Formats: sequence, C-alpha cells, structure tokens
Amino acid sequence: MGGVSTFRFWMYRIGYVGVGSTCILVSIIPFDLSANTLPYPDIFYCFTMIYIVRRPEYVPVWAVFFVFFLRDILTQAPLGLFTFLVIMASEVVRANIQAFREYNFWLEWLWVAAIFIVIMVVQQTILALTLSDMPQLMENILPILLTVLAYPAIVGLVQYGFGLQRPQPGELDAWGKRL
Amino acid sequence: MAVQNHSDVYFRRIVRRILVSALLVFVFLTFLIWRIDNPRAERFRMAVIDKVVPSLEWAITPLSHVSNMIADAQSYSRIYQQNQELRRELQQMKAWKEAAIQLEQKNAKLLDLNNVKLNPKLTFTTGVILADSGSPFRQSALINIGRHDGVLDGWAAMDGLGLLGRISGVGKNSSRVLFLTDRSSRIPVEVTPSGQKAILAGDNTPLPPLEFVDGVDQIRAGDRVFTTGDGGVFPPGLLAGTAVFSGDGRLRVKLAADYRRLEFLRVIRHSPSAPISEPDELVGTTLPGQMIVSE
Repeated sequence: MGGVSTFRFWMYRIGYVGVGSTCILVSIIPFDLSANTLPYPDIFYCFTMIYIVRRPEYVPVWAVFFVFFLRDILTQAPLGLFTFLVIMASEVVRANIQAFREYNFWLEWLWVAAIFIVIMVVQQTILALTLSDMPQLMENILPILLTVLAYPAIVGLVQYGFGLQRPQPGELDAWGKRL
Repeated sequence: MAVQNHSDVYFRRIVRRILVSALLVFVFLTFLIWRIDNPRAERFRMAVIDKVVPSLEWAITPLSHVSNMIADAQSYSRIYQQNQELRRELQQMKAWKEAAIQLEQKNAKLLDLNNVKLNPKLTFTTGVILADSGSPFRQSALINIGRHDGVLDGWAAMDGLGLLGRISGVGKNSSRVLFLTDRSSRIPVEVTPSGQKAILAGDNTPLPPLEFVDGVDQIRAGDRVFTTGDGGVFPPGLLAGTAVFSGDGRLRVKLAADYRRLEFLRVIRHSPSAPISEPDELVGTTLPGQMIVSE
C-alpha cells in the first residue's frame, strides 16, 4: 500500500484525462476553416489504446466515457456512437489483457490496427442502418490509415515521455495485488 | 480469509460488469435518441457547448494566436513577392474604387429621382469565431453571439464580402455557423446574368457544386452567384461566389468568402416579410386592425 504508487496511479489517470482534453482543445482551434484540409491521425484514439494495452488500470471506463463523450459533443459527431464503440473495444482489450501482455510489439500493432478498422466498419454500418448522414468511405479510410501509422510514434512518446511501460513479471499494483 | 478475498474479487467483478453494461446501454440509447429526436439532442449539444467552449476561451485564444503567428512567419519568406502582388492589386483597386464612387453617386441620384425605399431590415451583428468544428468531415464554426444577442436559427453569416453559411444551432452566448462547404448545407441560389435558379450544395470540398440547374449551357464561368431567398429563410441578393467549371465538367462555385483566415463574421439580421396567404385581406375593405399588417 505504498503512498508513492497510489500517487503515481492517480497521476496517470489524471494524465490520461488531461491529454484527452488537450487533444480536444487543439482540434477545435479555429486555424484554417476552409474545407478539404489534409486528414490527420486521431492521436488521442491511439493514446487510449496504448494506455489500455499497457496499463488498463490507468484507464477507467468512466474516463474513456467522459473524454470521448465530450469529444462527440464538441465535434458535432453522432452523439455517443463513437464513445460506445471505443468503450466496447476497451472492454474487449481489458478482458483479453493477458494475451495482449504476451504479444510482442508487432503483434500488438497488428491487433490494434484490426480493432481500429473493425470499429470504423461497424461505425459506418450503424450509420448506414440508421440512415444517418455519414462521411464517405475514402474520407474515413485515410485518417484511420494515418492513425495506424502514427501508432508506433505515439507508443515511443508514451513509453519514453510518460514512462508508461508494460508491467514486468511479478510486479505489484497499488494495492499489492499481482498483475 | 483467502476464500473471502476471492469472493470479494468475484463480487467486484460482477458489479463492474453490470455498471459497464449499463454505461454501454446508456451511450447507445443516447445515440438512438440523437437519431430519433435530432433537434432535441442538438439543443442539448448546443447547451453543453454553450457552457464549455466560452469558458475555454482563455486557452483557445493564445493557442490560435500562436498558430496564426507560425503561419505568418512562414509567409515572411516570400514577402517581396507578396509586396509586388499587393502593389499591383492596389493599383487595380484604385481604378475600381473610382468606378464604385461614380456608380454610387449615380445610383443615389436615380434613387432620389424615383423615391425608392430600400428594405431596411438587413442589419447585421458582428461575431468573433471561438472554435472550429474539430472534425475534418464537418465544416462549421462556433461564434460568440447567441440567443442573448437575438440570433435566430437560419440567419445568414457573411464575411466582409461573401456568404459564409447559416446559423444552425443557437445557445445562450454562442451559436454555430454551418458553412456552405458542409455536406449538409443546401442554399437556393441564382446565377446572374442568365437568371438560372440552382441549389448550392456543400460536399466538403472548397468548391461546392451547383445542383438542379436548368440550363447549364446558359451559364459561363465567372458568372456571379447570389442567394435568392426562396423558401423565406435567407435574405435574397447576398453574394455567394462565382461559377466555375471543375475538371470533371461539373458546375461549381468559387466562394467569395475567404475561409482560410476567418476571424470575424457578420450575422445578417433577417426577418422574412409576412407571407401573403389570404389575398382578399389585401383587396377587401381594410379594418382598423389590418392597417398594421398592410403597412
């Protein structure tokens, strides 16, 4: 029950929400309002996956819900759809966390890319089924591709900038439990 | 002890599963409500934005200033070339200014001769852009005037020269401007001088296409596109842009408004003239109460 590790634990949680809010803030800066700007990777989406794959206990469900729902509201997205899918994906990873721990980086990347693509396809399908206004497939594929490509860079940033590593074998969590 | 610990973990896992399921159901219901009762959900969204975004101004303003400064610094590299261009443009502008002054005087004389009364209802309020839509799929912006300043849904927004879009979503202190380039934007327009009516339909590109044009062959590149005011939502006669033909032969509009360096915009106050639904009221004997309507 070390005080230091509880502090670290909450710092990482707050850090997660802080990075999420900053990403939303940066995305709504009115810089260039002309249409057809270049697509960019969804950095926070990557960030969430990296956090969950490495340390699921730092990404509680309520934090994912809070940040992604706020983002849905502020970016005029279909209210709640993307939040729903991201929570779903995060729970799938959480349930299979032991398997993810044993993967090497390339396998992890492959799986996360698969999750990104499945989410995109499911999102398009639900939007089509509910006859909602939806982005064209090409407009969707390019950012997802960029997001997948940006994944290793953000992994590097998170591991060396935030010091977030995969747990070592035999490491204990804040409550002294084996991970 | 160990057994109790185990059952404790088991219990917590079940509670967690129930809570997560409830959260998922809640989020998906939100999506369904958004889909079914869209206006209400969008009002909720606007109310949240109205609370959140103006309070973030302290963070957004410096960040956007920094990004503008970076863009300005980039443009210094070709400052000489820009200077030359500006001089040439200024020369042309002087000629136009002269022409405009002459026309204005002539126009004033003619109006005076005819005793014309122009529509005085088109006044405007100026707003500052607070935030972007935050998504590459949606073209809109948040401005700092809202219901408090009398802004209504459907009013037109312009920069100094051309039409930008319309108000779509009004909060107490902020409102959203849906740009002409957004995929869900549809504005009735008229191409002058041929007088062809069309719909300016945004498609997320910088040059939105004109749809439902009668005689495409009567339109030439460079013809000017104005709003018509059909449907009674938009004030007529606002400049949207000039017609161009794109590479694939489609008729598109090069917008007059400059979206790239947008900071301020004008919201045109517009109350559509009262519709004439019953003709006999106009022709028949006017009662004292109807005097107000006919004036």
